[in-house]
Amino acid sequence: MPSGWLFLIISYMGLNMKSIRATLATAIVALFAVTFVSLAPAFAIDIPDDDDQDILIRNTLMTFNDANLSGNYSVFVAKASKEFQSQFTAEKMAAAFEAFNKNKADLSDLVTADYDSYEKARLDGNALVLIGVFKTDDFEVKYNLRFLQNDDVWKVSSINVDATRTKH
Amino acid sequence: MKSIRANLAICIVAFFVLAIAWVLPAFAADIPDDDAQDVLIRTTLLTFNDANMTNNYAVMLARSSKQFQSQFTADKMAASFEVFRKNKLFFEEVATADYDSSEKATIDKEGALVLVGVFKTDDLQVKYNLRFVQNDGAWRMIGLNVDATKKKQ
Repeated sequence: MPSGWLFLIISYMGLNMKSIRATLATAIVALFAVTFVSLAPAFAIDIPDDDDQDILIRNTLMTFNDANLSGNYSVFVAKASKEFQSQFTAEKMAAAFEAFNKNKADLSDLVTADYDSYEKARLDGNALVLIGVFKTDDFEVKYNLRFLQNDDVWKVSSINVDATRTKH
Repeated sequence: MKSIRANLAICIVAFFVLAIAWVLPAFAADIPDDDAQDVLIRTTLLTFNDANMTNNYAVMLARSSKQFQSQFTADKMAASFEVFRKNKLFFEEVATADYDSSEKATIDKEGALVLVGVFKTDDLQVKYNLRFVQNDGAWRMIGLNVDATKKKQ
């Protein structure tokens, strides 16, 4: 039985309630599917090359953005790893990421944005870990994504996105 | 018939809303700049690709224009785009792919923004013809024509 937990933080970076309601600018939401059992490597796994990492990151964040903007997380769940699917439903995700939907935080620009910084990709057990920051005209977006191989394809197993609206 | 079945790697699917009355602009919308066009093209194609990969068109429908939503259901879209799923014509690489070519963006006589071009990835050539209308100040998809061709290996 894989053990798992849902970890949710919605942080408003020290703003008081009034300013939260006024700006609703910063939200940190983490949704981790921790599947210790499945993380034990049964064979050597290669880290994908830079281009493939880039594709994984942008596709995951765009699917996430579509889910937030539509309030429908069914496609995100369908594309996620079976480990993720076994622990989270579209409804649970909608509740967890309500802040993004409520604030209409459109992160579409990430598809073409330059990286502000990123960490070297690494494996944590069987999980591929991709961490970095994008800056667009409207947002600074920190991401921490984990992927597991399902049938030789990297599928998201956890997502942690911190989007901060930049001041103009 | 035999050769058609054999060549299902090539498919063209067009999905246009003929809603001229709705599309006529109440005011002249400016053509978005190159960066905004790029974002519109890639996000639309990735949303379409997600729908094809999962056989779930609800999110794509929700992200499209109200004119499109009024005429199509997720089920109807699933039937129309079956060929993409059947032949696994998936193109996540469009997120980062270079354009092979693109036409200058235009606003057509119906007031829709028209974006046309071609991506080439390692596996596919993807020709797109996308139309957008403004809903509440945002460009939303009203027409989609995608021709995905598997490259010969």
